[in-house]
Amino acid sequence: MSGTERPFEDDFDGEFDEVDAVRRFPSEEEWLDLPFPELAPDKMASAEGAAENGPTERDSDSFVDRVLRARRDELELDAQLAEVDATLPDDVLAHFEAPTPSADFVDRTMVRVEAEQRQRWQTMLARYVAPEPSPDFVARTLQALAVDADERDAAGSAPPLLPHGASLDAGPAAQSRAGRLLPFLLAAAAIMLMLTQYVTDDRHDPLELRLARNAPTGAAYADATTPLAAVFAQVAAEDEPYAMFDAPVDGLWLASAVEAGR
Amino acid sequence: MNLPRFVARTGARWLAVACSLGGAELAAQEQPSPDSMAPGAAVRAHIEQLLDEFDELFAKADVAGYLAKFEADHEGALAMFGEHLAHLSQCTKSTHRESRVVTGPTTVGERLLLRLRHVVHWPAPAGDGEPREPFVEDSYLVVRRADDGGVVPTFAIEMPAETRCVRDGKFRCPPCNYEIGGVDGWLCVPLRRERALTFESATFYLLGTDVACDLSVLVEADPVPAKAAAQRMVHAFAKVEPGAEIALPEQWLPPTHEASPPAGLDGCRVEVRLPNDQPQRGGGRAIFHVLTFGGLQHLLLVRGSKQSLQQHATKVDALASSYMLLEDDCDAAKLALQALRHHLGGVLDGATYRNERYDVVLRGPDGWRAEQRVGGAAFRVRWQAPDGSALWLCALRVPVGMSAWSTEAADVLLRRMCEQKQLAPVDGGDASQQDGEQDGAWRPVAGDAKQQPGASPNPNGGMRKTVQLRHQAHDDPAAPPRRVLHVQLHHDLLLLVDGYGSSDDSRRAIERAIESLRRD
Repeated sequence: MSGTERPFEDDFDGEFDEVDAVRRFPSEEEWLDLPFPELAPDKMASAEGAAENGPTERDSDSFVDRVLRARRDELELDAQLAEVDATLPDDVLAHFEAPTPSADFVDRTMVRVEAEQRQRWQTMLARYVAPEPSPDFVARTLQALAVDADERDAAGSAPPLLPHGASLDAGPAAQSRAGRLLPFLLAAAAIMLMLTQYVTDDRHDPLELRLARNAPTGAAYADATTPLAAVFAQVAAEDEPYAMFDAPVDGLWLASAVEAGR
Repeated sequence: MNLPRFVARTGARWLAVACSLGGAELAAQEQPSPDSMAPGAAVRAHIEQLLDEFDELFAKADVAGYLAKFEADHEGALAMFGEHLAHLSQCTKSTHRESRVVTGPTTVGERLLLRLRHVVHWPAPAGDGEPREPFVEDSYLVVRRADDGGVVPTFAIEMPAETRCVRDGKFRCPPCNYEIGGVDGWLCVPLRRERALTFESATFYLLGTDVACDLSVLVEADPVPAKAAAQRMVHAFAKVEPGAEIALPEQWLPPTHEASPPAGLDGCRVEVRLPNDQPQRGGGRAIFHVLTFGGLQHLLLVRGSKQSLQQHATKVDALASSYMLLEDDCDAAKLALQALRHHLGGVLDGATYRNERYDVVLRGPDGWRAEQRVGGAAFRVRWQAPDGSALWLCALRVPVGMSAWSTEAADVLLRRMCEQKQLAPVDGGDASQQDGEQDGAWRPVAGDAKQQPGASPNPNGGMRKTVQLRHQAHDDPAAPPRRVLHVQLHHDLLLLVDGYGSSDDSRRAIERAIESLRRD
């Protein structure tokens, strides 16, 4: 390819030739074969000097300087802390012993960790959400595929789904293969649509519904339309963890349970 | 279409509209509308058709199909309506529901509001059993007019049959000393106590939007600063909704009282962000507003998407501005007691609790701290001893959907509670291992000797049983290992007294308290 015939070089003296630039631009496969770029000697010296000279280079604001400086400061702080730790008597350190965790410490921590993980995953996955094809687009595509298939069945023509460059006169075998492919393509399109809608569907259960589904079986407040009911139930559970009757039962549930027990 | 049948049904429904006693309440929430907006016969016919379709879908238990007819204004409210329908269908197994318009349609903003009454028929009983009374409930239905002249449902919500505090579109409660509402575009929907877990609650929906404002009243035994109360609420909220992000609390007073706040009034506002809710609309917001007046707390929760709250900020501000205390100069402590007495019907006199509304008296242990608790029960009282012992008295009214309490229903309730609280009768309920009458058998209440164990309760008397319970879970060392539960069953009220003692003295005090329970 042309990229290897003429090494890439910066040349902005003449008029910019876009076609030539594209032609000279290395292909994806050629990137790995490109020579390693040379770091300018002054930059190398600056980086090494920063490591050796320390505070004397604070004037420099380059990225490398700042990273090295931060790293050095951190090491200094670690050394100071280690020194202080070594000089502290044990009885002083004993004062700083971690307190006994509360009864619900583990539960609360796990809830927070899970919430944080969920949030991070959602943030990460949100970056890879593809734009959603409109239902109209999908419907038109499916319709076009179906019509095309009908026309081909009627006319006995070769399917346009053959690989590019393949003969349109490939014969019954090719037509049969395309015919077999069509249902799979339709199914794949439908699955794609469902997956796309699932992935890009940022609507999930409304708050009221999420809270209601966490309510105990048969509790009347499970059908509450206000989130405050779940909040009050939580407050009551914290205030009176050993109370028995803190949330009335739903009458319909009770009636049906009585009926079922007869 | 079968025209005579259609006319007959339509006529009956609109006759019911004319005769409805609830018309004033709904009319109070309507807005004056231009003649062009007044619903005509065609719209009414469409509504009738819609109700028929809803009833058919309910009969087929097709909740998804039911909800699919809506273009939801408020996703949360509609989802909960769907949950309720599914629950109703599952519990009643009904294949026959009749719906009719009680009041409306009236115009609210760009929507038409109707109050509906649904009569849900139970399946015919097997054998010679008597047919059950149909289950009746009301709901609000909101529709918008479609371009083709039809109607599109946009909002539906279950509502209690009684709406005493709603008048002129306002929610007004003199014993709790406040009123709010009566603002254009907002629909006030009161909530039943057992649903809301507090004695007074309502939600205001800004029709046509996803914005809502929940109102609840609480009473604490001791005055709590508004900031502490608000933080307690938001942290409890964050526990049930782990994705919630809590902002810093800030002082807040309602606009009506901002310039010259009454003495004793304290307010706080905390915003909670729900980034996972409606991200396409800037995320969800739940903004807690807490006002305390001594032990009395008024809680307003404004919620919706960030975008909607910004877009409709004027309407939200107007609702907040409609909130006002009815009396500025009143004793905060008396006010809390007044609210409790009005809504729960009882008072504490030292260790003795006396409820005049239900004629119940219980003398609690002397020296224990007694306080009335607010929740979903008819009333609830707690006594706590310095040594950690505790005693509760709880009264449950007949749940909606049942006609009276029965021993069967009480037993099902007790089994459910024991399962959820990880409790079991001591020694599997073996009567020989129990003390005295603590064997779990139903007996007539003293003074009602004609009642026999297992018999149906006498409407003028009652049945009682006492059982000892042990805690089954071993992962909670602080849980009381044993407790005693006493149940007194009346046709209209279920009284539950339970407690645990840390010492023999405390246990004896609990037994004496149980013996003192009376219902005249």
